[in-house]
Amino acid sequence: MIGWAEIIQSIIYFISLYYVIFWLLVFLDNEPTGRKKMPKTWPEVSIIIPAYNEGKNIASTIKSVTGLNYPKDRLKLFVVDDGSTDATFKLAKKHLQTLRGYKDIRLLTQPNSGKFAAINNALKYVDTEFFATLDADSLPTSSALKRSILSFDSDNIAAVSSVLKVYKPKNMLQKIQDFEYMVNHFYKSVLSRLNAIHVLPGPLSIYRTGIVKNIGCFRDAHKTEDMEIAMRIQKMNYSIRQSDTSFVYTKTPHSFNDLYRQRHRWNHGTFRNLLDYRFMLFNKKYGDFGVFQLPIMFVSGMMGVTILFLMGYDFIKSAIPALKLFQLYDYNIIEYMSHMTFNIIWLDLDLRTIVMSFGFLAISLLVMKLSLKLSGEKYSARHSLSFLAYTMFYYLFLAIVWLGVFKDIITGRETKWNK
Amino acid sequence: MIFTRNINKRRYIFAFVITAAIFFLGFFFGFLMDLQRVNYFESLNEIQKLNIRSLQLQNDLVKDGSLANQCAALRYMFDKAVVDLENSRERLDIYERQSKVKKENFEILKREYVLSQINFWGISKNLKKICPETSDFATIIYFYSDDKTCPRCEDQAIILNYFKSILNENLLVFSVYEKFEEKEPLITLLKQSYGINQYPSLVIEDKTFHEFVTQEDMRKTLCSAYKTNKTRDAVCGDIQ
Repeated sequence: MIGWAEIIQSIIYFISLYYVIFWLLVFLDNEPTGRKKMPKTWPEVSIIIPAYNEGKNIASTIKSVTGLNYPKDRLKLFVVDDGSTDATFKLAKKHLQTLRGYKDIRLLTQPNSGKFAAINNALKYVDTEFFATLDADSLPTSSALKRSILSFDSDNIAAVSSVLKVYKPKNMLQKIQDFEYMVNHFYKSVLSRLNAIHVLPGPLSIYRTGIVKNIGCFRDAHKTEDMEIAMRIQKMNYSIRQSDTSFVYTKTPHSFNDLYRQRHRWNHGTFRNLLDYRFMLFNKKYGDFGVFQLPIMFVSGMMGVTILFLMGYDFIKSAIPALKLFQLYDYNIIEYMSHMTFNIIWLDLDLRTIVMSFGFLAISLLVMKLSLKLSGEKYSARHSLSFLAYTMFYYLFLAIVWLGVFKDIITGRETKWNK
Repeated sequence: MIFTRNINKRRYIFAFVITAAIFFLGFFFGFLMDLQRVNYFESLNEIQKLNIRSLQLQNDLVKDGSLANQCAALRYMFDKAVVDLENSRERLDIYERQSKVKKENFEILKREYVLSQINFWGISKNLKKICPETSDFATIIYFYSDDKTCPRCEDQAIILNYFKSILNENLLVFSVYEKFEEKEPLITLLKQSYGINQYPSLVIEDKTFHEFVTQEDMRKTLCSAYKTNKTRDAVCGDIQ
């Protein structure tokens, strides 16, 4: 008879496989949209750079804005210092003073009140048709802004997000994130075709000013204002796109602790926002966003934690007899090992598991191939290593993060920016 | 202007059909695999039955003197057949756990293995009588049940594994699973002759233990079972 653990596992595998197949069908079915022709006059855009203790990064971010291939007289710059305790304000002032040719440049400061408040502060002065948010640790490529603006090919498009890439990945963890961002590019490209994008990341997302002001600007939203604004836009049945050719480099965590904190904040915000917008779940009124994207966001964390528990259960079940046997040897590892003989039976793995693992690996390889193609990158050894690490460990890591998130939700603990 | 959303139902259904087809193929593959494994064990079982017959014949011939001075060869053949049987039984256990659709076939095979084990136990007793100098091994019949009726059986099996790993061919463990008693009267007869009525129970050589046997108790019992110093040293250590 099939046990409860196998039934749960099969359901999780079925759901996961269903979603991947659905993504692939959407990807193969729909061509990305977006205006191809250059406009005679580029629309005015305000670029908002909220910064809190970004003394190390603010100069390079301002410099990257000057490198944008966009008419300067159509750009307004707003740097908002969110009550930094370092030299962010001073450095921003110094570098902004060197800029020439822009329609407007403003340096605002406020007592520390969060990123959403910093953007809203700048929005009070924004009168351009579009505005962009640019995190102070992000560097857009020169063509990014123009390409994103070209994606606004319809009046109901409220926002366009760019494609994030890891800035100079150095250690293995950053290389894995580099791969993750590349897969996300593919994933968000699919969501873009479905109008089901659920997040507008801080590094260069472009908004239609009128729509954002009409729906009430940004909110704290459990420290994930970029997700909440996207959900609110979706709720109002506007459209969100991803410009597949607008690239922004962003600095990513280089240690497990930092990565854990970042992902904890993101996932905690995701779950809290999902609870806030639960009325959209399985609601046909919100199209694929309500029927497809929100449900998978809702269950993915739970599925991850369930798999983690099942793996732990299997591990403990098989480890207990080995530990008890070890105890009989008085914990003498040399004695224990000397009596261990290789038994071919140990290699008698469950063929179903092997076949299923290869199936998932094949699908992952296909997604990797499509992601590389979409990113315009060629396959290299670097990708193999990060692909292997990503496939083998990353989902496990995310499941651990989700476990922490659920623990905090149950205990009623709110997340902070430094968490 | 507000965007109106359309859901492409056909795409959802198509994705479901593909996913279900992949899962169905997986189950079908599993079914075929179980069938193949049952066939494999059936043929293996036939070979093992032949081995038992061959051993019994050799046993009889050594006993009546037709094959004089062949004890070492007989012992070698016996050890090899026991190891083969044990490996097959372990593999059968694994396959049965992995099996999803042909469980009943595996159970029939396991029942046959219990009979083979009892058969080997009988041969081992004869071997000790007719070839005492090459048969310095101890035999244990281990009566066990499932986790619910016998929570200590797992720990008992670990202790048996421990001694098996130290003594190798000098310890023969024959496991008798309570589950097959209903269909196999031989198990009932064996139980009755040793007065077994609870699990775990062990018959070490001819001494019956109607309870869980600790590592120390088993060590002491096995110590008295060996004749040669080499095997006694391996198991007894300081407690000789």
